Amino acid sequence: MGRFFGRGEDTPDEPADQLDLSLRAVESILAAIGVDPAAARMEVARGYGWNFQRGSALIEVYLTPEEQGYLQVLSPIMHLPASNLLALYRRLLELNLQLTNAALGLHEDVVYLYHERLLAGLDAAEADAIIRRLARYADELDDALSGEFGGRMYGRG
Amino acid sequence: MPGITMAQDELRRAIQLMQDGQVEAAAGLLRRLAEAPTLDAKGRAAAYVWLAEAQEDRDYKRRCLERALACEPDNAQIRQGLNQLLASPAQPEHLPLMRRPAGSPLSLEQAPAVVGVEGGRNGLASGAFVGRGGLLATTSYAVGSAEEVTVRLGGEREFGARILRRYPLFDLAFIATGVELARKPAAAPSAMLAENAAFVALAYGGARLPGRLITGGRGADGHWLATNIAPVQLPDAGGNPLVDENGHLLGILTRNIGAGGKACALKITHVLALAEQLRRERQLMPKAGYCPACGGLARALLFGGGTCESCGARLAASDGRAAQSEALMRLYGENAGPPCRGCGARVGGYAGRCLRCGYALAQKGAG
Repeated sequence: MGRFFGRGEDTPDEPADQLDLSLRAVESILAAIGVDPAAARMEVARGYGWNFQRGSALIEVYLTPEEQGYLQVLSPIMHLPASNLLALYRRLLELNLQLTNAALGLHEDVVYLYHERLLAGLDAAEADAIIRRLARYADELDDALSGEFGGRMYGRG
Repeated sequence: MPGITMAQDELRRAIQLMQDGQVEAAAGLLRRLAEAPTLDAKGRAAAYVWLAEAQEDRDYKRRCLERALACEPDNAQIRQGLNQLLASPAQPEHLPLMRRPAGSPLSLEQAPAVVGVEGGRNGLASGAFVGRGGLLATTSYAVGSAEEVTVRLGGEREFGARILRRYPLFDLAFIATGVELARKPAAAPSAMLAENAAFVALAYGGARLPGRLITGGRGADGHWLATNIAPVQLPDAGGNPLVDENGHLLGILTRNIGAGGKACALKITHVLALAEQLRRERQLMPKAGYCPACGGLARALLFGGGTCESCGARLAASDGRAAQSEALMRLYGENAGPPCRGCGARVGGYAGRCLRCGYALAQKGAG
C-alpha cells in the first residue's frame, strides 16, 4: 500500500539522478502519446504527477520516488453513494475479477481504476495501451455504476 | 428366551415400518415395545430412538432420547443426538398447512437410490431424494449459483428442476423436483450410527465406492460423518448418498474435507433437519427468497430490496436497486447509527472507520 504515494502516502526518497531519469522517461512517453507533459503536470505530495482527459475519463499518472520507478495510472470513476454500500462493494469485487491489467480500488470516498507497472522497459506504445484501456473501462463503468448505485460521477455536480 | 426374540423381531418390524414411511403404525408398535419387559435395555433404547424420529414435537423427542439414554447411559451417539436436539432452536408449535403443489409431474412408486444432477457449475453430480415431496439433496459445489438443473433418474427419464436453497457451509443444496414418492426414503437416525460402520457411496452412472466411517475431523462437530474416501476417488461433483447394508441413507457425501484429507458426508439427520427448517421458513415467509450467491435467507425481498442483506449479491428477479424503506435500511444496517463526521453517511463502520469515506469514527466514551 505504501507506493500509492500520489495520494499522500509516505515513502522514502530515492537518489535524485535516478528519479530524474525516470521523470524524463515518463515525460517522453506522455509526449509520444499526445499529452503535453508541462501542461498536464500537477503538484503531488511526493514524486511527480500528471493529469489529463482521455475521452470522458480523467487520467492521473504518477511516478513513484523509488529506486525502481513505478508508473501508476489511475482514473477516478465515482463518489461512493450514501447507502447500499454492501452491494456496491460486492459489485466492485466482481468487476475486479473481470478486468484485464486493471483493478478497482477506493481512496477516501472515490472509486478508482488503477494500473501499475515498473517503469523499466515501458515504451510509449504500451503506455498508450494502458491509458486507453483504463479510459475505456472508466467510460463503461462510471455510467453503469452510478446508474445502478446512485453515486455521483467523479468531477460532475 | 423366546419372549426377547419375539420382541426383537417386533422391533425390527417397527423399524422397517418407519423406513417404509408408515410412521403411525411404527410409532404405535414402538410405544408398546419401549414399555415391554421382554426387550433388553439396548433394544428399549433403540425403540425410544426410533420413537423420537416418529414425532415432530421437540419435547416429545427430548423425552424419548432421555429415556433412551437412561436405558443405555454409555451410548455416545444417543447422548450426542440429545445434545444436538437441546442445542437446536425451538420452532413454533403450530404452523399453517402447506398447500401441496397441484398436478405433480411425476409420481414414483420406487424412487432411485441415486439420481444425476446436471447443469450446475461443476459438472455432473449425484443426488438423493430426502423427502416424499421429491426434495432432492446434492452438493452446493455441484450447483454453484445455478437456478435450475436437470435431474436424471436413469434411462431416458430426466426433467428440469429448481434449486431451492444452497448451504455453502455444509456443501449442501436442495432441489425442488415436484416428484411424488410413494415412500419416504429410508434414513438411519444419527443415534444409530456407529464408528467404523461400513457403507457404500452411490454415484449416478453406477459407480459404487465402499467405505467406512472414521473418527475425528469434522465428525466431531455433530453434523458430519468422517469417511475414509479420498476426494480424488469421487467420480463426480459429490452429492453421493451413503447407504448401509440395508440400503438406509446414512448421509450425503460432500466435497468438504476432514482430517487426513478424506471426504466428509453430512449426516442424513442433519440434512432432514435443514429440510424441515426450509419447509417452515417457506411457510412462514413465502415471499422471502434465498440468495443464489451465499445461500442465505434473503428477507430483503420482503421489503422490496434487490440485493442480499448478507453478501450484497443481486437477487434473482430484481433489478438490483435498493428500495429506500426504513425497514430495508435497518436490514442493510444503514441509518442505524450516528452520522459520520466526515461525510454524514450513516452506513456504519469497520475497524473504527466509516464504511463510506474511511473517516475515523468517534470512539465510545471520547469527549
